[in-house]
Amino acid sequence: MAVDEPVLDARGLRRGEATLDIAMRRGEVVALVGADEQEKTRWLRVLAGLRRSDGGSLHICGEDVLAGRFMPHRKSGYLSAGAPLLSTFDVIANVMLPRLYHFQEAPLEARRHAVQLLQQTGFAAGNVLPAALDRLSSFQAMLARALAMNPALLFVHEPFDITLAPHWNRIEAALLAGTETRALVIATQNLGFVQRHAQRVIFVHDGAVQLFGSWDAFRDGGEAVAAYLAAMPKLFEEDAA
Amino acid sequence: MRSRTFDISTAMGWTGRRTLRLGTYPLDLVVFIGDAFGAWIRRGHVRNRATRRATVSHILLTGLNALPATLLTGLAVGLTLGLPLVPFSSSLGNRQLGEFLMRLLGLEIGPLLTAVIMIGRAGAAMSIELANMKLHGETAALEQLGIDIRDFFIAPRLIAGAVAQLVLATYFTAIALFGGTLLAGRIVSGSGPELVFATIDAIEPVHLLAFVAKNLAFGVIIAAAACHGAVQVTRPPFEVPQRVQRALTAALVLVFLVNAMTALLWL
Repeated sequence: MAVDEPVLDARGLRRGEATLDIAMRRGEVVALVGADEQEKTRWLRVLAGLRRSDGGSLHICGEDVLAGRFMPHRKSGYLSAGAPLLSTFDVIANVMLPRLYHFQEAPLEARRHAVQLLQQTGFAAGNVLPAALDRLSSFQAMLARALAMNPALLFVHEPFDITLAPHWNRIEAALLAGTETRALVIATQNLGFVQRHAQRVIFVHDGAVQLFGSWDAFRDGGEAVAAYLAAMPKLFEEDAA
Repeated sequence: MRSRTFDISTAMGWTGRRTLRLGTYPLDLVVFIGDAFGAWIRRGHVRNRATRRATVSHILLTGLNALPATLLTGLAVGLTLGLPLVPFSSSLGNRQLGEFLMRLLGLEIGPLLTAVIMIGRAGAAMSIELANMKLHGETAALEQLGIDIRDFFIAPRLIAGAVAQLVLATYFTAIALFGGTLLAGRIVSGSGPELVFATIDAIEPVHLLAFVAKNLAFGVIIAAAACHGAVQVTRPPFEVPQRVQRALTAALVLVFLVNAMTALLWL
């Protein structure tokens, strides 16, 4: 696959009445925002190929996702708080697992790669069971696991947990490390992050979906956007400012 | 306030539904087992490193860790049966008593009691582990990573269950048949190992084959019932003890039923 080819190419991708057209290249950050958490999650899963769309076409790294035999995990990573680490495996075993399973890599090699990824994400806790980790370390380990297969595309569902507010800058750094070689689609309410890093914004509201070419275009995006921005919690507004 | 009256049609409906569910459960389980092994073979993960690691660790967990308890129970069962039976060796003769012990202890009670130990230990552990994984979204995480729980989690446990049951039942039966009866003979009449030799003489290849087949089947049934019950867990946390309880009861009932059916084959 050529470097400048889109890693994600969605044309007429449909969920209900809403339709989305987007092409993403490596190094690009696209934010998915909106007040309806469930609808945002559904769109993120549709874009990641984890949920079927109602129509249109979706290609990830040139492969047709809707053809049926596509395996999303081979090309993309998905990170969500609802999909935690395996509680009976220690951190390194959790991060090693995708490579052991899919690549049948030698355990020592998989372990070396896992340790490297954990360092990249800023993970500093020891190799313990997930129950012994604090929330930040848990997030970093989950991010390392999502990156284990060297995905060209990373989908992240709300990493900016309110309880992790003091560590948001570290989460931001971990998410953006290595984005020059991959694209990032992030569903978040952290408008500060969106303003600083997203090249484009997908806005989900009232069963519709709109793509904006920049933060400024999004901010001036009409009544629905204004109502959404006005309703955002103060914390996010301050961060965005 | 609405009064609760006994309604015969509701009661019959309930009985019918329960009977139907009981009748279709073994079929469900067979499909579940076939599905897990099918996924395991289809994806070419027979030699997969991750799956192999999971299988080996579960053989050790379910088999090796239960060994001391199994050996002790085997010796106790051998003594329990040997003490009242050894005095009959003078009237029945060692050969006949040896054959009787081999059939009763070796082919019926040994596998059955090992299976009961397996259900209490490994079955409960497997069921609780998988149910909690399901409840906390860990199985969903595996699916997002493209890891199929059927061939990563369930098939290795079915194999581990079968191997562990066979190994444990072999130890249990050997210690019960030979250790227990030898000890009972010493205690009751101070006799030597003649009864043990007579028991060994009574073993034929078909007995060994039946022993292996029965224990492998028990192991698969226990692991399958445990996993099948656990994957039924949805969201409410109170479902975990309920599903685990049902899974273990189902395993117990199935093992006893299969044992009774195989006993019929010897007639």
